[in-house]
Amino acid sequence: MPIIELNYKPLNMGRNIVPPAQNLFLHGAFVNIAIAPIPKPGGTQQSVVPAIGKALIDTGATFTCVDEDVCQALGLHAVGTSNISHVDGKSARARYPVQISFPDFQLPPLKLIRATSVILNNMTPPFIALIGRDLLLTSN
Amino acid sequence: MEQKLFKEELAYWLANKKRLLETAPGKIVLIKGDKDYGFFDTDEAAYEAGVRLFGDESFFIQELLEYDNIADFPAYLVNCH
Repeated sequence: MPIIELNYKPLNMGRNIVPPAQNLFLHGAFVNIAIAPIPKPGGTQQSVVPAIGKALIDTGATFTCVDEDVCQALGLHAVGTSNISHVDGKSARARYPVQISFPDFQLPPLKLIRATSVILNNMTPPFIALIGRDLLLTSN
Repeated sequence: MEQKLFKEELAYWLANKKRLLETAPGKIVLIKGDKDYGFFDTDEAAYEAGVRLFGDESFFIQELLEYDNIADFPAYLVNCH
């Protein structure tokens, strides 16, 4: 598993500047990511603009999940369903194939065939993904 | 999630779960409609086969486990219904 170093910068929130430690306290450990469709076998390239945003490193999440709005915007087709348990009960959610890149680190893109779709657009900051233990497991 | 998503495939999976589990436990099965299209060692291999066979149409990938994995998301997810 690669070791990555995150240096939190002060966060500009209008008239207030949030210092790095407070930024970590408020938002947790997050990284910048790009989410794109998995390139088709055979090398045909797709002309879809990747979704770029922040992903929370969530060791409490079994599987990596991606915001449903992002999946829809990328035009992804679901390849399965997943039963998930969360603080609000249990749900069945669609799973999508995605390629996740980390623009701030020299890591190869990761293909995740069955990323669980969830609703993240009500979070602050607006994360586009939660990096779960499945992705941490494959990052070697 | 849209209730009709994979309705036919899920029905096929549930109706044939015992046979599929006995045939290829631990593998990944590719299902489209009411038919399965082979067993694979990895999600990626099943996905690539699905794309080759069905192009941009939806298909269903299922891991052949006796007990379904229920994923835990203890902290962040609400309003997922």
